[in-house]
Amino acid sequence: MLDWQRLLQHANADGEFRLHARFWNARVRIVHGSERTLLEMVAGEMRRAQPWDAADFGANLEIAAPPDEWDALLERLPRPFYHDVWAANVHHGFNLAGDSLNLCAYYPAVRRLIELMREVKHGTL
Amino acid sequence: MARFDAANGRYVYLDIDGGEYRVYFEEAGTGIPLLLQHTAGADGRQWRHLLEDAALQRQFRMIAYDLPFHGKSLPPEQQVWWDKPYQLTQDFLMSVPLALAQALQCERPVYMGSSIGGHLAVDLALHHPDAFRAVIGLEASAHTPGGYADEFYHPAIGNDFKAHLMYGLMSPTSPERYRRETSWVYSQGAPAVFKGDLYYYSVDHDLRQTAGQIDTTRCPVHIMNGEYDWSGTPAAGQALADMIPGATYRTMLGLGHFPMSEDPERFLGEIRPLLDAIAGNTSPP
Repeated sequence: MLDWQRLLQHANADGEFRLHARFWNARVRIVHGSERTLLEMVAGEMRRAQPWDAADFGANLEIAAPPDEWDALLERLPRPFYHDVWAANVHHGFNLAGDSLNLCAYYPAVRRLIELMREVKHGTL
Repeated sequence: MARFDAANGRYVYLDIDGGEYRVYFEEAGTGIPLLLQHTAGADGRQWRHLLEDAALQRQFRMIAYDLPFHGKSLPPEQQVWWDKPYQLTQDFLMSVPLALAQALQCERPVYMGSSIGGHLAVDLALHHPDAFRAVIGLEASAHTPGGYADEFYHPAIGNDFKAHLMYGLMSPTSPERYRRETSWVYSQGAPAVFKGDLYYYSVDHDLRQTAGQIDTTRCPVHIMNGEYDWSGTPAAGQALADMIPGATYRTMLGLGHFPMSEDPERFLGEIRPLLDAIAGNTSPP
């Protein structure tokens, strides 16, 4: 789906993401069809970005969608309601699940994370 | 020589439902009064670009106001407002532009608002059709349930959440600087206000059974929703206009929930023909 190590490097180097992610401790599970990836945030830093281990503890937040939905979300110029993951959760095939307080408190970081995923996918970083 | 904006700001005291409210407004231009209502949890700064438009200044007396509890309009001094949840009702919201128009001697103004302001346009047309020359509802719908949620006023969630959720309601083609400015305004609202405003947006406003009663020969109704607005969607705007005999509808391509502040230039291109038609009393484009 994505070069996850590149995403980790760029997330940790991104001023806006680090600002929004300050003090964030969370295990974020990205579900792309049958592919599952762990993004682990510790004290505002992304420590791990790797395939999800079945033995891992549960996620605080899961962002899940079929591959074609992810393709639409990560387009350079997304179509209406794929331009934001919250909108895609309301109007398209995305599912945001987990601790809703954590999600809302860190939604600015999640929103920026999706932008970074777009940039990694299209090599614009 | 210092550079100034055209808009002038001041306060007016409005008597509403037995209470006195000190309301801040900014105005620019001369001509037909045009009242400009901001979105939920925000304030009149959203209209700053429109107020500066020289062509509109020649046709309209534009008045952008901050609702009580918003922006520079402080809570009323005479009320104990701090021991109960802030909640915006349809009756109170309708009374603000009516009282403001009377206080500022605006005879049959044009009314335009976005989001809660867009909803309000249609509520005003239904309940006070003779008070307005025309109403323009931006990002308007007959009914938008689900927004009156605890996440919008929770001790564990900061105002950044609202600011960035609103960022996602804008078009990805809108200039970054203006999307950030719009979000910034959202980060500044008093914590309780956005959720309280959404009581009107999601609970009190419901025109599904009554929109058909609006008489557009007395008060013309124009609905315009942004292509990227996932709350007041184009489909919802079209559906609302279809319920109102004689109402017009237009989707604003490349705009979202905050057309006037997220991409002022594009919005002016959309709204100018309609305002010209209203000023000239001709058919809308």
